[in-house]
Amino acid sequence: MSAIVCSHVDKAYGATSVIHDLNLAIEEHEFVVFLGPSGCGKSTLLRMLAGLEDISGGEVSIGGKVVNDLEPGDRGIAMVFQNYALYPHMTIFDNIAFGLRRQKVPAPEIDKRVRAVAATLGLEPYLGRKPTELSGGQQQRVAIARAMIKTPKVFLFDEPLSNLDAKLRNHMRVEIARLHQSLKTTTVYVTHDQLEAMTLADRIVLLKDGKIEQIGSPAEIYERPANMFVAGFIGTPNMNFIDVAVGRKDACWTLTGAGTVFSIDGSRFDLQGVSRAVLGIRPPDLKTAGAGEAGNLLQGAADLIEFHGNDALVTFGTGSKEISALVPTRECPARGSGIRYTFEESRVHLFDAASGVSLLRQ
Amino acid sequence: MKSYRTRPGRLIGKAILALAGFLAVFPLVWTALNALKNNVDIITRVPRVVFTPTLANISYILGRDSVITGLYNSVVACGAAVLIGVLLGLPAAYAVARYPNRWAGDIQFFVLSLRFLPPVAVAIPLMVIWLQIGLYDTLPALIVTYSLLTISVIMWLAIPAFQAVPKEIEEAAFVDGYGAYSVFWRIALPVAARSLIGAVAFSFVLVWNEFLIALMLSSSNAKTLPIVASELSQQGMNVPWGILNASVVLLSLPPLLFLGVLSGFLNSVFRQKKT
Repeated sequence: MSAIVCSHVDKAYGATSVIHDLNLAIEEHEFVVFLGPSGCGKSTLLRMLAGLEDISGGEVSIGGKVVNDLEPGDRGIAMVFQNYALYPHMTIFDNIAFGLRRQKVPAPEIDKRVRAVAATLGLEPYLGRKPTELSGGQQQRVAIARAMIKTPKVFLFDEPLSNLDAKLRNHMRVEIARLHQSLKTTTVYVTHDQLEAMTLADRIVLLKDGKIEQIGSPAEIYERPANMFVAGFIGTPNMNFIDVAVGRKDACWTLTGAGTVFSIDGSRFDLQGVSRAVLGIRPPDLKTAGAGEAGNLLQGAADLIEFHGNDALVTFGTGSKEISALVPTRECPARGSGIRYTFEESRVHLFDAASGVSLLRQ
Repeated sequence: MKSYRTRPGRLIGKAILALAGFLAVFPLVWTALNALKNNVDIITRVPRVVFTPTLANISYILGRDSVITGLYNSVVACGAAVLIGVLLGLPAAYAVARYPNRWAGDIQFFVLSLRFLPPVAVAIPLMVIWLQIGLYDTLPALIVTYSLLTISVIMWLAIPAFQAVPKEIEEAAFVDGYGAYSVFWRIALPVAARSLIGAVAFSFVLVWNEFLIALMLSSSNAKTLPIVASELSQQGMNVPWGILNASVVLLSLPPLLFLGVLSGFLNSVFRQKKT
């Protein structure tokens, strides 16, 4: 049975529609990440699951029970907020115990459970302190402890790491992943950071303008993006797009654009009747071409070189198009020198030029 | 170099600060001193700092029934009005701040507009109303009238205080299973307490010092302390300065006590643990 089901969910503020006819099923024990640019409705959707926003239309059920009209406290959820939202006038102990007190749990048991959760998250030394006396990372851990202690059916995380500095963010990300491995609680996690989404998620729900663009495992979304938006949003550095005209030559398909004619076997794609398409190739999939190679070449002069460590990002112009390639540093060309890159056909993505939908065969 | 250049500015700043502090505090000190002086010591040409203190003024004040009645009336009227202001004004302010409807803006404006009018404009109609009802010159009339003042002041100051409470904190409490009333009581009130106590104290001082409405609404029974104190100066040509000063001291003590109790309460709630 699915832990969370959204069917035909709408959300509108007055005349402005934020989420439109959204359908989604989240399985038990799953870690699902809502990912998307800001303003895509991901936080609104999460807050609708939490009961902090009204549901304008459709039905949301958690654990098989329709929760549209249930108060947040009756939905069996726990939530971690972006800015921690700890109760500033209470000690850490009281912050964690606050939810249990509401459930009329006897005091000795509250004490036992708070200490157990605090031990798991390394918060024992701070139980007597006030939230302002803790660092950001510790505060976020208290927020997680406060969520954990209620043993909810569902964890909701609303951009929990975006207020932390980069190093702490990595650390907390690992902690959250580990926590999910041990607790196995169904988790919905909202972020705009694709690295968080890719590393944490069992499945990513990619949203844009209140609509689901694609649902899939991180690998699926990376390898088989359903449309140009997904392809461009996922993956750093961004995918290169080249507008091409599609033609047929002997047994091959030809793609003409950026001053080059690419020739592919095209069996992976549904190219019948398509005249204009967009070719997508990720920077790491571009390889330095050997001297003898003549097919599918991108040539130009290295324009900008960004050193990343192991790799370097080489940007060059070909035709009127800027292309980036991520190459091992030892193969990195000098600035201004001529370069030739090629790619394997299996790494190519093709999208319909008009609709942006992937032409990959299902 | 830089500190050298900023030094004159800092000196001037400190001098201005000291002057302002002196201007604020000195009249109070002088009043307190005068309350302990004989009239002869007060009306000398050269102000006397060294004198033989006397408790005559204070004992005279405390010995008069009208002063004690005035003190009682003031404490009851202002205390009750502030209490009503807190009980009605704070929830109303919270509702306007957190659950605004389409009238929220109008409500806020209306509350402020209660303070626009000069008191004279409302004092006479109020007097007529209380005369008609038959409650003129009674404490209930004064309490109800003062409640209008305290509710509006407390609401006006408490709305921004509640709005300043981060919404997520209240939402976290909702997720923790608490209802709207518990969230108000256990989260919003304590978190906003610092600003709220300021609002309550301000409303108390406002009605404690209120003169005109009290003058219009009382003739003998319900006179408050400011009225009684002012009457002390109307005893012919010979102004009893010592007694006046003593009555002013008496008048200033309750608000100070009130503020002291409130801030003490505040400190006990928000005492920071030493880390």
